[in-house]
Amino acid sequence: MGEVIDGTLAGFKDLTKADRLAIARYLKTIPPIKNKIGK
Amino acid sequence: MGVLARSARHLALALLIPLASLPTLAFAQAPSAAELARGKYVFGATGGCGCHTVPKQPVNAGGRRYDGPFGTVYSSNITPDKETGIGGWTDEQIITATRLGRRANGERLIPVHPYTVFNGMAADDLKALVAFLRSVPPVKRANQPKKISVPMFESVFLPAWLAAFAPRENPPTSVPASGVARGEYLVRAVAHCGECHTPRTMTMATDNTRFLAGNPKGPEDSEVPNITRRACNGPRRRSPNISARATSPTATWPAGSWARSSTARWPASRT
Repeated sequence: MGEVIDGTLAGFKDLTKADRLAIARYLKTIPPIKNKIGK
Repeated sequence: MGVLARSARHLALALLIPLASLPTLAFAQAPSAAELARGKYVFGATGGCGCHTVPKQPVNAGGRRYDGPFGTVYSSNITPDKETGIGGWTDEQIITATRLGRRANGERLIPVHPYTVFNGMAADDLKALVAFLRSVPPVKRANQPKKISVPMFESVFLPAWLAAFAPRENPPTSVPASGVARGEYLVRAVAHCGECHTPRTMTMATDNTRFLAGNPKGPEDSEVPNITRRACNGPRRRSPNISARATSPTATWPAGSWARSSTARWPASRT
């Protein structure tokens, strides 16, 4: 997603701290999955 | 009596007509500053509807190219221009296109536009988003026609694919306000993180058995990091991992610096 948000009127950078933390808390609930990305 | 009856009827009409027109008036009212601010926030939480903006070109005016195994599509002009944008659409038509993938003329959108996950957005957020979209300057820029190379793609293949493989989020009855539920709502629906961070199956549907586990063939042939918990905490991270920042109490999400070109590929693995 990151590569497509250049030049817009608002973006992920505008999320509030509360929402960023909510996202982080949710991400931590997702089961870990091994899927090596990159070399 | 006749005069009295007529007077009473006129009085009733005088009272009822304004009452009957109240919903129309309410619908036609300009959105409040608070609703516009909310819409702009939702807009940002989607990633700024960035697929609809070619970098360094007018915001939301579309024209961004996406190549896929089915052919090439270009994002639409979503500015409020009445001829080339969405200025002539009703709010309901815009919301239907956003969450159900149907244009005002009934045509089905190619799911490069992630309507199967935007379907999980709450009605109030969508209304605010539409109000904000209408508030930006209109840009007259004709949409470019898509070039579909797969025979009967839209009449046969796409409906079958949507029915068989596309997961569909369900809208919440109200917008989750905080905590894990809020995070899930943002990740799964509004920010549609899975569209890039989840690997795809051979049918090109997201493989939600590996939700957010990274995608070696993301947009623009980029490697999109695994943001599941092990990747967050793992001792050896060789690729950029936004989760490290996302899980920090002082997290700041990366933004425009990621942009690399005006052409994004989708899905990249089959182009």
